Amino acid sequence: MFRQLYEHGYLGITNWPSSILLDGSLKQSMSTIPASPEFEYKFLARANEAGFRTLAFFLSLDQARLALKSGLSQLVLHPGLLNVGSVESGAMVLGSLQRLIETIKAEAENATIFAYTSEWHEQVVPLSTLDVDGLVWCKAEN
Amino acid sequence: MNDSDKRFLFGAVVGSGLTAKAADKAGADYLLALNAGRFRVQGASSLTSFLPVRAANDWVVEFAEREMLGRCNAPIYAGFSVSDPALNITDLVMRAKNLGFSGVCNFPSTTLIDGRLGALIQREGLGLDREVALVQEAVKVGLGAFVYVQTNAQARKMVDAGATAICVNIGFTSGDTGVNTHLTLETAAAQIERVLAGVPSSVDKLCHGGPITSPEEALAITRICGVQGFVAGSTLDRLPVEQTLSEVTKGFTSIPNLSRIKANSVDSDSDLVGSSFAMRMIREELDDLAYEDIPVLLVGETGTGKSRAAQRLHTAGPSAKRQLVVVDCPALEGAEGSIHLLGTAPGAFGGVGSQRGALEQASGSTIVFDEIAALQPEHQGKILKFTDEKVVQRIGDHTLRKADARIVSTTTPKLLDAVEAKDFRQDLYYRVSGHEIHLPPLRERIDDIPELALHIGKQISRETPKFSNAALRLMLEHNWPGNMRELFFAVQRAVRKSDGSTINSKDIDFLRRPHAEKTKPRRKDAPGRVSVSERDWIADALARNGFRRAQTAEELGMTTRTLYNKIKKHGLQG
Repeated sequence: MFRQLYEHGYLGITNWPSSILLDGSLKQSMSTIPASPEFEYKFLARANEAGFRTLAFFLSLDQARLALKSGLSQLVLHPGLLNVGSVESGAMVLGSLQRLIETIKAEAENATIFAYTSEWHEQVVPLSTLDVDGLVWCKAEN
Repeated sequence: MNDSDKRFLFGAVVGSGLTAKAADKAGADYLLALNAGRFRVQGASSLTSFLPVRAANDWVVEFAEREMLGRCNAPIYAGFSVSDPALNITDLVMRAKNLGFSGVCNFPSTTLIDGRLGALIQREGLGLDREVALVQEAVKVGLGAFVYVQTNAQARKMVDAGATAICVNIGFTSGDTGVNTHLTLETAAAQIERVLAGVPSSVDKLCHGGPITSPEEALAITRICGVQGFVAGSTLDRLPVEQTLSEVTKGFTSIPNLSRIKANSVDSDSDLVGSSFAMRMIREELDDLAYEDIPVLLVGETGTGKSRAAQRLHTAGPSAKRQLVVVDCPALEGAEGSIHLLGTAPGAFGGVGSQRGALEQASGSTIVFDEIAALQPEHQGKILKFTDEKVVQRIGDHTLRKADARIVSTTTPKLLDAVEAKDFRQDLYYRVSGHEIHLPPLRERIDDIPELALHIGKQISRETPKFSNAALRLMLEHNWPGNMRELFFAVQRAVRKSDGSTINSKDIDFLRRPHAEKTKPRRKDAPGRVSVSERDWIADALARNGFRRAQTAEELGMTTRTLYNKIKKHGLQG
């Protein structure tokens, strides 16, 4: 698979769509096949070894730690499935995400952390204002 | 309408032409062509259907068109995912109709996605709303709509949209995913009942998944709640296929020529079944001796058919119409045993009446001394005159009475040892062993086992049972220390487990447990008593099973009552 991707001109691989968004009983069930963040990170680590650049999506501290443990250093913070109803709640979400980033940085200084955002996200939670190493901007096609 | 009047509906999730045709032939009411079924027949989990592996709808259409449509009588429903906002549901339904599907099904359904992701999908209008639209479009063009739901609100919406069948998904099946369902049959039934509340009787009501993995459990669910049937996924196409492949492979690598075996046409209890050379010779020998007044000694391990051979000698002989008299030698003790054998004269032991003993009762017929080696020395002497002169002297009597009976005795192979050890009178031995017939243990005539199994099965169920090759192989590999008796109970148990269908290896896998003969050296025979091998066999089994008698009896292939008798007989009480 890696050889085919390389021949098609790809230089990097990321885990998207990802099981990081699953919760409830579906998450439990899917982990048995296994469709889980841990499985995805191990696959990205193999891609790394095969010479690809990787970006590992995560949305919790546990997932970030799993990615780092797998040997991945370039991580993308996904804000999760947001349901933000006010400016105040948006600010609270932003604050919690910033603390998450600081915690990861404190544990792994060499980690590079990007924030995932889009025009829609910026309207409810301005993720581009987070203190991160870079942004992964999702551009919706019209 | 009572429970027995209800028609059980069965839906089969099919992922290949092979499974579709098999389920159709077996009478399935619904064939559901779902991508989950296709994943399963390819060796993947049905949960893969929720991953972005390939376009679900195109895939379903592709394999159903190529392998199922036009080839099955049961209605085939196409499982469609309609969450893609760019998908034109009307076009999709028309495509299904034009291809010949009988209906559509909302699979993979967003109703199975819980948590925040599920909520978001519903909030964005990409979930149930679009699945409802699928139902409405299908109904408009005259197609059926088989829908998966998890809540009563979903069920009611689907009924309002025109769904023709509602299937309550009660979660993933444990055996399929490794996920442990927290539901029992009772709690699942209660959940189904809640979901189906208000669903009219015109709509078929089924359930899928959860703790239900067998037809018995599916039937039980229909009895305790309002659901009419069950949809089988991996319980239909993956687990049976794996088992069958395994069994067929074992069959091919097992013994040849099993197909030639037929059930013996003779079903009399007294017949010695088996086409092996040894058994043919024994039957001929018995028939030759039937009209000869020669004392016959039948020698064989426990359960080898000595009693049946004795019965055959009697029924083939001149006194067949008279009652056969059997003396249970191990049960004879002291004075009571003597009375049982010889009877009493008037006035003996203070009584006024007289009593005939077994020897006299057998006059004009046949007397069988069962396990004669266990006869106590005092009783051995008491029958000596009878065996020699066919006369009996009742206890307390001074006269001799004629008791002209044919003498047949049975024993384990250790009788000669007992004679040498002077535990059994040599003169008596010669008098009862005018002709010796040795009945071989089952392990020495394994060719007969399939035939015997069929014969026993027919006796038990009145129909000749079918054994898979793998099941027969297990029986041939077994050592059968309990011989015919053990085989009888093993077949009886297997017939009961198979519930009328083919007896597979799983129905008889209790034979896999090692026996003492395979795992432990036999203990040295205790001196003095002859039926040592049976005593040791039972003692070893008791020790191995922690002296649990029911378990021991099961392993030895005998009833608990028989085991109790044998424990008493051999003095094995704790």
